[in-house]
Amino acid sequence: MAMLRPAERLAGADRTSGSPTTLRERLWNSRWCYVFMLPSLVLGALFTLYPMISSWYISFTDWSGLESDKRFVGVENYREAVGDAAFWSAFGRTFAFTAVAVPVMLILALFAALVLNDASLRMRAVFRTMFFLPVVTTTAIVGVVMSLIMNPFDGPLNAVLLDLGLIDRPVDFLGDPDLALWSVAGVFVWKWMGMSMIYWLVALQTVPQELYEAARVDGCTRRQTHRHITVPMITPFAVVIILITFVGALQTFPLVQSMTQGGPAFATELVELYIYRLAFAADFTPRLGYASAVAVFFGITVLIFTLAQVWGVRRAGAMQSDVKEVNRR
Amino acid sequence: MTQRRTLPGAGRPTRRTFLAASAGLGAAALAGLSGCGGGFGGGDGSGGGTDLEFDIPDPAGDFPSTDVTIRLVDSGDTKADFWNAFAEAYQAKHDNVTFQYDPLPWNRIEEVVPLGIRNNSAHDLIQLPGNIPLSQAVSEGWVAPLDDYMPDFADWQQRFPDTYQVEGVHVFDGQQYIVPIGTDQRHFQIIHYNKQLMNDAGFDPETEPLTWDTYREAARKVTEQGDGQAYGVIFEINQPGRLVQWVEYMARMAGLPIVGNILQPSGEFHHDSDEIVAAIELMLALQQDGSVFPGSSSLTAPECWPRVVRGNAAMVSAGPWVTALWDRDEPDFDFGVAPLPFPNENPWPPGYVTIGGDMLTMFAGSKVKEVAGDVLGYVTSLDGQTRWAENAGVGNPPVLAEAREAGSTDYSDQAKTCLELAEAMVGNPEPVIANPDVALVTKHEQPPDPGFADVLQAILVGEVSDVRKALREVKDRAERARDEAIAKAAKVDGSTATRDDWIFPNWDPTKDYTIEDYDGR
Repeated sequence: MAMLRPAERLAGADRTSGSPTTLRERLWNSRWCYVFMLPSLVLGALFTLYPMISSWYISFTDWSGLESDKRFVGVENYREAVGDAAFWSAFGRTFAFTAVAVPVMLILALFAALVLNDASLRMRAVFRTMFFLPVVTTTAIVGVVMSLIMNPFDGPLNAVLLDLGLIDRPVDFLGDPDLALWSVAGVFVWKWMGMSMIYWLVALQTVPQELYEAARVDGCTRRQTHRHITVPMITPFAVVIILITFVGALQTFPLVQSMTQGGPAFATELVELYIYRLAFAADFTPRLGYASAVAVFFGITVLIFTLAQVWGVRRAGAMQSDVKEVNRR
Repeated sequence: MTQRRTLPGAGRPTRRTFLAASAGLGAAALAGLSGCGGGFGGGDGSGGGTDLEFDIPDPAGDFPSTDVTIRLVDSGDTKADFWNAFAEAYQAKHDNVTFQYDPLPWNRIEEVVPLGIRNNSAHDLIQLPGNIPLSQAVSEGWVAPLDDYMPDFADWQQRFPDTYQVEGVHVFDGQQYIVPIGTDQRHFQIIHYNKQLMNDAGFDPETEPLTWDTYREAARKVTEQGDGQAYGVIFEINQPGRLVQWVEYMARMAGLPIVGNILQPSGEFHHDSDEIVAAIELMLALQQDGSVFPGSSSLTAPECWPRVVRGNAAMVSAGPWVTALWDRDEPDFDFGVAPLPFPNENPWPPGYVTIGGDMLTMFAGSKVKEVAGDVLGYVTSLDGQTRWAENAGVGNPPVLAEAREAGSTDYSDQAKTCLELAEAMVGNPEPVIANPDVALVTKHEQPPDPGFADVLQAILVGEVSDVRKALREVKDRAERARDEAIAKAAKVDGSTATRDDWIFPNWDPTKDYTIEDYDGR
């Protein structure tokens, strides 16, 4: 350790004597920070923490949500969920939906972002707005309008497909159990692609322009530039974008509810709709306790992906540092 | 005054409430049943009710003199026309009273009412959703007895039929907790048809009722002549509770001895009965003929009705609330109403639940119980019931037969036909009247999942190949669920209900089952 000179030691001593030493002093000195945090903390505790903890507790009870007494049943609800074929069907459907919708959305969004990131493109702000418009449109409205567009009797989508000769009879996009989920997935991709596109644009805009200029000077083709500069530079962001989009795709309640209500014949009943049916829209006495257990189970699944996201961010940070280090050399 | 339009899709509880009523859920279920029409609006305050003259009597007893607000929530539909007009009249009569009427779709009621009860901010008068059995509301202390608040209650008891004052259904420990305003003596399944399309195809169901064969033939001809622009029938396949009603009406008219969904006298569930299977096969035959409107698989009832008005489909099966709707909103539309087709010459009359509909109960935490009692007293008086018949119309007929008759003089021909069809219905026995503990069983019963409605929907969208096997499996699940619920109710609540409470050996499917008949079973 380097030895401090007397003057430096003195200055250090002065700083030490002027800084808070006790927890009480430190809290007092930071009081305004805590005051400003208070509303957020209170609201967070009321509307996030309390419902979350409450749902954990309820998941261990046999409770309709109406009675004053909750009957504690231990892990019985979880045991039932594990053997519940309807739950696992919904679970499988949810992940199938996500496995298809997420890659399609990400690829289309990346393609759109690459095109719209080109500074030479005229009216790119208009195009970006057009892609983003569905994101800010009310989901329920999108669902209802899309149901009309996909109507097999007089929906414009069938009319266009028939006119183009792509089909020879109208397709019942939302009424056919084999098609309904993928029709909803298509609308989901269209609705949220703009958001992913914005993520990609942010990522693309972090790539230093001088790298592209250098590549151009070196005679790289567009493809080589994408492969050797764009892709490595945005890969750390891609990890985050993929995980955010994946988690978002697990939460599709408003769109599915407004388009198919989980039908036909449960073909589009994803986990969120199944939970809703158990808790609120049951054809019998609601089962808030069991619905909570299913929700907690599902929530843990989402949590696992969120943790993966955190891990991905850290890995991404490490990768970015590596790329910068290579570039520096 | 809060006025909200009832949203499409409000008919969703139909399935729950119908099944629940079939299982003898009782009063609360009936409150839900009245919403079967689904939401088709109303509540804009511009109904014909503004011309009504309400002869509201002076209040008796302790009526508040300070400014107060009374709040009422129900499922709207054609009821909204009555309540909006009544609210104006009531406020004119009592200038210190603000009448807040909130017509809501059932899914909103299912959220709003429990939350209000928990927060002690519920409406003063409530149409209970099907997920809150009245017995539970009473035992939890959520609702108040009405005897002390309705004016001249003894007179009311004399005026109202016995089947609306049943212990365990409306009455608990000798006190009335719920008041039916309407009757459920109405056809939930009437063919509503586009006259031009049907007449062009050579059929007129009003003059010559349809058989199963002519129904199919008419649908095929309309489809042929429509050349892709019009189809014979439209089904609300995405609202499968309505399909259950359709199948059960068809099967009952075809001679299936069912009370709700229970076969008599065996006491078994009806799901795999021959008549049920035959009715489903008729639906499938219509599909195979290409006579069903494309896209029916994703349609709910309120989405089907306009297709008939527009001439895209010739026939839809709907309740009298659609008659009232078209009378009000489609004055130039030429339509007819007729009973569902039947396969033989002497169809059995459909049954109805005798314990009432459109029931209101009073929140125990209400600060204006005297006002609430006064309102209930008026709407169940002859004058109130007549105004109800005039304004709520044929979709929600009043309890009192005299009011039904007096209030229907200006009805359309179609509405009068609906009333005639309803008159021909017979009152079903109610297991919950036979033994009030049936309500406890219902509380514990978790109907099979997938249930009958789900399986029906799956059959119609092509997900089931062996119809009878799928129905047998539903039946087996339903039987198990009922047995388990009976055992659980006995263990947890001390229920005395047994499977015998669903059996009525002295039931004649062509006659009303009266209160006296319960003693003879």
